[in-house]
Amino acid sequence: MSTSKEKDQFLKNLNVEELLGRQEVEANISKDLPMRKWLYAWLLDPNIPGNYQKSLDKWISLLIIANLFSLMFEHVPAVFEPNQLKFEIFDIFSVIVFTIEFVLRLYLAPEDEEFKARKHARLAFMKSPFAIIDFLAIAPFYLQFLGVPLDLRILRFLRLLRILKLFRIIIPAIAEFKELNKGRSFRQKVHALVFPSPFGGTAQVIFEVCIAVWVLLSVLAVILESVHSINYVLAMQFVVLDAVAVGIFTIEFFMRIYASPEEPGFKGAVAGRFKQFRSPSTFIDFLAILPFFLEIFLHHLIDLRFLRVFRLARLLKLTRGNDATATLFRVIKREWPMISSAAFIMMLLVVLTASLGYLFEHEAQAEKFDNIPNAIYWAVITLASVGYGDISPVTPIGRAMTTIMALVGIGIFAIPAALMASAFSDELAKERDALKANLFAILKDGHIDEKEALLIRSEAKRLHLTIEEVNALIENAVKEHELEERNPWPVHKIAENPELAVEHFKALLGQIRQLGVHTDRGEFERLAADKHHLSEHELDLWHKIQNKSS
Amino acid sequence: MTSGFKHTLMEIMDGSPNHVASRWVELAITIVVLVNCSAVILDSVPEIHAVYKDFFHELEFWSVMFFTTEYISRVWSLGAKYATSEGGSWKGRRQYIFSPFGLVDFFATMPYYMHIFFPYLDLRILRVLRLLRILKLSKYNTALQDLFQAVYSERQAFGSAVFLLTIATVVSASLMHFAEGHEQPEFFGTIPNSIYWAIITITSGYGNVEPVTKAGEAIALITGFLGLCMAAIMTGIVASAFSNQVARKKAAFEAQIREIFSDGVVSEEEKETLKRLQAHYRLTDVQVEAMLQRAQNKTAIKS
Repeated sequence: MSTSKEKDQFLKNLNVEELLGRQEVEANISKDLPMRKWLYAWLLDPNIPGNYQKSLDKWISLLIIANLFSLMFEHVPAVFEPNQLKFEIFDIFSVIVFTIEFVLRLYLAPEDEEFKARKHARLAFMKSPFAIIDFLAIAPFYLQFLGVPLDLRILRFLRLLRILKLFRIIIPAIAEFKELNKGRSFRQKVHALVFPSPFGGTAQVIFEVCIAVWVLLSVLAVILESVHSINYVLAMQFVVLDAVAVGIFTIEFFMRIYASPEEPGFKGAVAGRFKQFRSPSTFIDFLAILPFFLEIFLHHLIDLRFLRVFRLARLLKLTRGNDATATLFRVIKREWPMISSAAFIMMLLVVLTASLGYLFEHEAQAEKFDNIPNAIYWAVITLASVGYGDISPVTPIGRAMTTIMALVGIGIFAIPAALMASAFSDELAKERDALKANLFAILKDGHIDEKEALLIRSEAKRLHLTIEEVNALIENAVKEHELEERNPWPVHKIAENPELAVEHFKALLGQIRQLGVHTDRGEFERLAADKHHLSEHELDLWHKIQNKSS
Repeated sequence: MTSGFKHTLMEIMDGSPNHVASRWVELAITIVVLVNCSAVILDSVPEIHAVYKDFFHELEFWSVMFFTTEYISRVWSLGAKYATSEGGSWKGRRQYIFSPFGLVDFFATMPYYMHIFFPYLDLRILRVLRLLRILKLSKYNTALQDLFQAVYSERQAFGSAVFLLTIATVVSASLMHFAEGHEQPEFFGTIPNSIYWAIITITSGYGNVEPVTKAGEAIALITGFLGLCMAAIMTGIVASAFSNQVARKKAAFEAQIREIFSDGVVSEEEKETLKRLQAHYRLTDVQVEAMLQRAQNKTAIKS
């Protein structure tokens, strides 16, 4: 029992929050530091967890991207002219932010690892490429104020340099990517860039974000294009945007196809690539670019403009790597027989209602129930409890029929929703069971090493478990574990805990069933029928238990 | 020899997994039924009827021939179901002919012959009868049986829901009749008409009949609210009954898997049994795999 006590102690000490890495890390920065050191520690030091360095980087890069867009739209007179003031205010705002950032970096340069050792730290900082870029990003604005006569076009070009500020994020990412992929083949590098893998690092995340931004942009463009007043003004820009988006998506698509033999489960130069092509997410990628090329190559044969609507399917590209959609597809695939049978019943009901409606109402209102397809439309609208009311029965018998069918319909049409809901929770329960089994194995030796902690963490993140849920799972696993080591547990002890008692009863029943499977049943019956062995009641019980299992 | 062929034919028509042909028969019947129903639906559109009249006529003739062949071969082959000692060949046939499926099969072909013998019958009734052929599909899809079983097993809950619904409908309909009967006699003049209004309001709500008096508006408001509750109750009962039914099937299957695994080995014969059971319970490979995994884990822990 001493090991058990140790284990209890261990479980009590187990800090799930820490295990899951969800703890809000308080940056440990003392207040007594000199002003410059303190500021640096809070804002720029990349080595202190919990300070503001990460979020500062994020917001600055968002501002850079916003700047890029504002620059793009300034070239469109229709957008620029009515909103000139807003553009100017935005420009001033971003220059102020960038200036503050630059001054801050300059002021804190002597604290930086890179420049600390130098004699003139600030001078060294000024000469570093990042500082030059930062300076160039704001300089034109001030030059303008100083009265240097600058052409508007040159000014705009200089403002374009602000994009270069993004290098502060991209260059470390590329360096990290190179470091991770040292000595790997070109195809492996492409794979690391486009597919999530341990070799991807930040570069892969940036790649995904870029694709997602372009997806959103191009879908937004398709939606706005359908508004005539906007399309009238921006037709050219939309065409260019679409072409660029398709270009990017095409490159992405071919990169994925090219690199797919590196993906586990897609072996083989041809077979693996074809399998990748057939996989849902890659096929969506293909469909996203297909309309564009079809229109280019076949426009002289047929009018394919209607295909443009399918550009909206690009939104589906965002489902790649989204857990929820993956679970949804898995659930649909798993529950397909039940979903299809529900659909089958719905079809029967619709056809039945429609044909009865047609039968009873055709004479009374020939213009509304003039054929069965119309009656089907009416039946679906009625049964799905939409009830537009544009077609409704008028004859008494038609109304009576509708009354009954509408009542049946609300029940039947709810089945798919219920199925999906229960399947979803079932799927989740299954995965939790798996996690529980894992926890079981992990907790067995009474300690959690780094690898195991990582496993729990990633699983908990994938299943969207809260800390309380993980705690409950661990408790559950321990309880079951104790049940498995039943030996030190006498029956009266099990009986103290009803929950354990139920489990124990289930296990005993299972044993009886197993007994029935292994034994020669005929012989058993013959012996048992002898009153000395089993009473009638007992034999009856035996039969009941055996029948339940077969 | 004939009895051997008869028996084989019976198994094929019955969809037994022992014959490859049974799958083809099932597929053929499904396709013919679907094509037929689409044809009936399209034929009711006057513009399509004008152009493809002859084609639809031809199709109808050949499919009736097909269904007649099917019906006759079913009736004939089912003679092999029971040996003479068990009740003779007509016992099986009688069972089939008066079973729901047998009746559906019979009424699938009957309208055509009726049309031949009674040419002045209303065409629309014939059309609707022909659409009932779609019920033939339920032979191959257990969904309908599942639903009936589910409803049957939850019949008490259904009973009380229907009781509540009846009360809600009758009360709101009669109140509406008193409130609006004089104002809108065409809609609320009789209580049956008001009942129709109440049920439509509770379920889908066409919105083409609106109360005009203040009292009527208040009653309509309450009816709408009641409808929300009633719809939720009905929906919940049907849905949970259906998923319970599914769960029951799965549990039965899993118990069988457990049994198969309890001795630790899976023989060829047991594999066959699994396949058959899987088809019977309409489970996907993924589900079966998960269950097998669970059963294996359980036995692994025990040993």
